[in-house]
Amino acid sequence: MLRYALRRLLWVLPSVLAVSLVSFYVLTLVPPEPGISVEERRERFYDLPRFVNVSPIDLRARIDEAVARLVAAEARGEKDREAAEDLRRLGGAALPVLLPKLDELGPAEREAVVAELAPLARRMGIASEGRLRDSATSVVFWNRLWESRGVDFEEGTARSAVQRYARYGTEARARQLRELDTFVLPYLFEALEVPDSFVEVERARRLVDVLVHVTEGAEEDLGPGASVARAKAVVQGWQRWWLVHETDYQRLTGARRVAAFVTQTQYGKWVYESVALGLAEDDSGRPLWDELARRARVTGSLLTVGLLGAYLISLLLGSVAALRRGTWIDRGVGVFVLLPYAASPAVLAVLAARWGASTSAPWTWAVLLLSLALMADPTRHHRDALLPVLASEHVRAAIARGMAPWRVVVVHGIRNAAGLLAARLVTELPLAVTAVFVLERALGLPGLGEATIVAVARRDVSWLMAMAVWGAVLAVAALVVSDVAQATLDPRLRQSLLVGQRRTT
Amino acid sequence: MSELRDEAAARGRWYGRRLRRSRRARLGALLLALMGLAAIFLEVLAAPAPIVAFGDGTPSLLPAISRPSDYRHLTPAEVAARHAGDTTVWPLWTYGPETVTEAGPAAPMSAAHPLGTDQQGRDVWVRALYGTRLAFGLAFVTLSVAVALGIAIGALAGYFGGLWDEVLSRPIELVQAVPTIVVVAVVRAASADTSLWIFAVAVASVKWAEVARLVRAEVVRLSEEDFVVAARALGAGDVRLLLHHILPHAVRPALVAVPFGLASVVLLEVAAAFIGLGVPGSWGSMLAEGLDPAAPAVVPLAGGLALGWMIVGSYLLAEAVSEAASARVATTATEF
Repeated sequence: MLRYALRRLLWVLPSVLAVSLVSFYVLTLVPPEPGISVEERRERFYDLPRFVNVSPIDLRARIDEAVARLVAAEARGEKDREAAEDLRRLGGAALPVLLPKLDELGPAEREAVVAELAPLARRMGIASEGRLRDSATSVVFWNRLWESRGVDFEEGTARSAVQRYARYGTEARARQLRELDTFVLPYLFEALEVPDSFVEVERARRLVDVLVHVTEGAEEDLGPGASVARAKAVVQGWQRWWLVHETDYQRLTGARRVAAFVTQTQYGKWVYESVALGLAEDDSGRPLWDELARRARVTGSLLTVGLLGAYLISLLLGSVAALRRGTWIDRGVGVFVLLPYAASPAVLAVLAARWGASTSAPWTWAVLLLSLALMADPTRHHRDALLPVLASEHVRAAIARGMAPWRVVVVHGIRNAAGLLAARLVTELPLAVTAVFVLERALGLPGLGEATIVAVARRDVSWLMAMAVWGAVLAVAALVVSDVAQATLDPRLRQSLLVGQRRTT
Repeated sequence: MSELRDEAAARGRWYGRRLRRSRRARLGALLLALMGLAAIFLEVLAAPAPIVAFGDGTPSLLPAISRPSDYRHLTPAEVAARHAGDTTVWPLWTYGPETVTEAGPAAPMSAAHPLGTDQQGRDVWVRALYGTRLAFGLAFVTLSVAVALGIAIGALAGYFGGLWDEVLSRPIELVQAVPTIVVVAVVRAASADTSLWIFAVAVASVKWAEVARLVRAEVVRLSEEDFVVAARALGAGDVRLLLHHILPHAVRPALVAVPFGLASVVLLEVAAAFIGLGVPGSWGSMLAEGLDPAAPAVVPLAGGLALGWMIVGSYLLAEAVSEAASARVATTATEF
């Protein structure tokens, strides 16, 4: 049975994947609002394909484009400020690709490109203004630099330089990183962790200092004496920045290029951001998972206690109706359970809210109303399942020999009913979630429903994706609990489950 | 072989007879039929335009349907002025659900306004009547799509078995347990369109699973029946076997889900409208107005009673249908 439950639980992954893919597709059908800036488009990944990126743009592609534009502008006798700005932004990371590439260009074109590297040299702190004033001198400067320092622009050198700096933080090591410029960005982000203590804040501050320098302040600085909370927020801001801009500073080769088909997509970025980094925020800027966990406690407790209440009431009423079959009690129970069902949770919620339930003990009211609204279906099923048990010969014989009818219900009926109610859980749960959302709205309970209503109005993709995934996990959990409970209670079903037959038969 | 198939058809006729004899089925059907008639002939009962108008030599039949935009935003006085010289036959109540009546906001009950008016001066009774059409329309569209999809997927999974079954049964299981309200929320966020169609598609994308489950189980059972085995032995192909021999019988038990589906779709829409995700003008939005203490209590009351009427009707019918179906199974061994 344990093996069966584990096998079923493995279905959580493909189920969640399928649900999240479909939900993501639906939610990203909405076009971006007009007038949105280029940077905002990038931050929200609108420029990336949705699920598959067959030609991801990396550092090399950006350098090729910038150089081509500078060369074209040179041929026209003009300057392309945007391409020059791109080259400066790409910085040290571009040098291992760009400097060898200069040999392929003609003298005039080479000088035009090199002229745009002067601001970079200043940022790296490796040349004075005077040395780069003349184009021909600049070409010689960069050629010599690459001959003497090219070996520093290697993965191992850069990584160990970053690690040493993170640990010791001396000015000499900081200067070394600044000289490598954006080439060290991947290794800085490897070393940058969300701080939990003051010691870690100091380490993060050192790394953020270099980040601010080489990106010319793309994100916030972390000054001395910052609190842990502030440091956390700043580091998370930088991590998100890197998520958006990482391919500007890295080449995609080999396995990374293959992985980029999936990772450099809107969906890939969303998964990485929310699952791996845990960075996702709802539209109000609150951490998504914290908010989800806080609200799931309210909704989860309502669902659990409400369903439990409904099942307990239905066991009692169903048993009474079956024992008094055909009498006014049976019919009375039928009407009693039908009334709240027909009234629906919305009507019950309005009545309760008008009586002031939202101000006095709203949670208790919600549980009570939920139990009442959900009891019709299990009561009917329990009653119908108990009738053949009561009519069976061994039970009639036991009653004839003086056994109390209520003992029959307890001994034979409850086991029967529990299996039946477990089977109904799968269909009952979606109804219960709907009812909980209604009750939360009417009684002002801060659960998932309340936040989802706000998220729909704001088109908050992060929250709605989280809800879709939560819904899928809940669905699979209900299926597993239902199957295991049924199999535990019914040996015949246990056999069929273990040999691999499905519940849909 | 035809005798074998006739036997299966006879079971169906017996099931129909049993259903017709059930008092609960008759009462449920009556409740739903009354509502259904009101939904179909709504413009005869209440509309902002005349049923028929003869003016300038050209007759105009049900202009509230043919030219709704001409009347939607007119006050009753303006509509009366428009047809001043015409020969007209008016509906019982001359308001639409959006018409702001001359009685003003929160007017008490009167002959002209059987349930009074809401905070905006709209007739509450007429709003509840129009909610009926919305509820039936939504249930019809949703269940049509869900039943068609469910039959197709359930039949494929049940008949072909093996990999087909494996691939199709998992989504059936999962979709059945997914909270529909979350699906509705996702679709609502993706589309600014609050029309019935989008909502119906969102709900149908979940509801098909229940039908598919029932059809699959029935197709698996029927595939082993003598008349199917005989037809296969005589050389019938897969398509003929499925469409001609199996599906006609497999569909009937699946239709048991329809009355239950009617109630669940309407209840879901009311819940969605209550939290602002439904179709405007439904009973759910009337109920949501009840949360405002200043709103007349009759608005949520009318919405709640109309909803209760429909749910009781479909519940009684569903109970009877389900009982007849289970009785058929119980007596199959003795009767046939």
